[in-house]
Amino acid sequence: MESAAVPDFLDTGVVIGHLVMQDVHARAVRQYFADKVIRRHSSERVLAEAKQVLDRSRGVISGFLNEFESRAGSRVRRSPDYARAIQAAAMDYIRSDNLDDRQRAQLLGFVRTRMEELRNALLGQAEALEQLRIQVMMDFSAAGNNLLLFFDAGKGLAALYRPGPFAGRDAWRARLRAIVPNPNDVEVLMDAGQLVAEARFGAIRFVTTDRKDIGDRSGAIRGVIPVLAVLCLN
Amino acid sequence: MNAKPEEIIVRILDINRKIRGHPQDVTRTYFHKILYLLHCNKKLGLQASLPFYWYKYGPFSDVVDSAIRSAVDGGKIEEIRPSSDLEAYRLKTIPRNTIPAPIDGSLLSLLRKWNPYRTPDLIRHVYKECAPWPFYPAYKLDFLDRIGDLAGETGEDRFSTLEPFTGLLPDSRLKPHLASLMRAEGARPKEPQMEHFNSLFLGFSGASARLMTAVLAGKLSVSEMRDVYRTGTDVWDTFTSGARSLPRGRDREYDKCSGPWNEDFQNRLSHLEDEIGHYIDHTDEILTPLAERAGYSSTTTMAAVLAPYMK
Repeated sequence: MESAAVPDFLDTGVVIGHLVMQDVHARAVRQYFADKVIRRHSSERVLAEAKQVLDRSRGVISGFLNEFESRAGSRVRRSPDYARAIQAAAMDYIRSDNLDDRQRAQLLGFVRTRMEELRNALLGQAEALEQLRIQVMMDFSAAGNNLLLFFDAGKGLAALYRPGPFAGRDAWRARLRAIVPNPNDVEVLMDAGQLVAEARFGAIRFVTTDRKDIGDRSGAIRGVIPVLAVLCLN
Repeated sequence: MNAKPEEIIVRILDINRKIRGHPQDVTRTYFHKILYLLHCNKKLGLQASLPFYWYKYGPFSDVVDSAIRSAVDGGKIEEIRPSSDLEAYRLKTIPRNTIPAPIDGSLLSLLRKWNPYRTPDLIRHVYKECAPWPFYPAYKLDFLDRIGDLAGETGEDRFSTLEPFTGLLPDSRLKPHLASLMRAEGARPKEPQMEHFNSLFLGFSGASARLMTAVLAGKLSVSEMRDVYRTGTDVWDTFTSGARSLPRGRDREYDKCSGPWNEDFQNRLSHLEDEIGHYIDHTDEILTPLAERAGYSSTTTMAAVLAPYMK
């Protein structure tokens, strides 16, 4: 990927994408980070959102494991086809807890990856679920530490920006709300716009993986904050 | 069928004296838990005269508290202080009044089953079998109390380690607590009024798990668990404040308190939001140099779970 003349501002999906670089889904993000020359920035809001993504994802799995242990487990144990029964237990949980599409995909991804441990738990290895819980907590802790490295005081991949008061924010907010449906996206886009104004960059490139809310609306967004170019990696 | 709570209090001490012989002391906690189990027996019809709500130490009743005070003031029982933080009571005069036979029979079987000198067993039973939310035993008994013990903040001081002589060592005692924390996460209350609490709790547990993982790896001292315990205690206080503000956490007789209790919950939530923010910042400060030394790490769980965020 050719390096940009202007610095970049990273959206939450890009940050999260870096945490899962080994996965095929992260190919576009991996290519993007292969370019070492780009000056990358992001805001504290993005870091907080990335942490919440980790917390919520872990919350979905912890809820499922409790349910699996208390109820689904006994039903699944009677089934001759463990894999199918475990997936059915996950689907039951998705329905009973009204998980959205993303949480649904997360849980099914987790079940697929950890099928062996779940199966062992069903086969009566009492310690299997305990060990799985420990492993999941440690995995998420590792991801949280990766986030710290990502933003660590200039040594990481992106410098962290703390937005201050800026005159143009309210006007941007009102008009961006009419374009971007997600309030968090509005705030993060404004962080990027404000960074340009305060750091006198002249312009900045907003890098995102959000095609639906931001990528497809890049023209309209630029109409509100002209100093912002949008690069969608998906 | 009716019996004054004060008469039941006195009868508990009387039965206990007969069962166990020597004058025995009974703690305030024991009274609350035994009377709560009695109240749960719907056939006895004590729900209205003996109302309870769930709070910091499990089921609590103002009626029980005032019945204890009244029995002390009336010279029927006496208060003794085995230690500065323990309130216990002893029978002063043998009661003349009797209480209805079904209540007396239930009391007798409860006291036979639950020895007042083994209150933790009774507390665990009440939390596990009767709590309106599984979060009660999962968080308080299986995580917070154990972290408190480990950090030397409660119970037996097991905080003495060889660290001053050997340097930091991997501490495998924390492993089951990590699993307990995750179990508590999965037992978060589902009520919409608890949504904000749940999101703060996930922030707390995520930061705590990172600290615990570093202690497990021998990169941090187990003394860091004191912060987990102290913040975790405020998390608990906030949760229990929310628990009593919800109809599920109290008997109808306490509905009149719902306004002030809800206000208290909202205030605590706002305070907890600031506290968790500082806790996470503090955790990040401690862990950043360690993360720098360790570098990036990747796991298959993360790839599977976070991949949907890339689409």
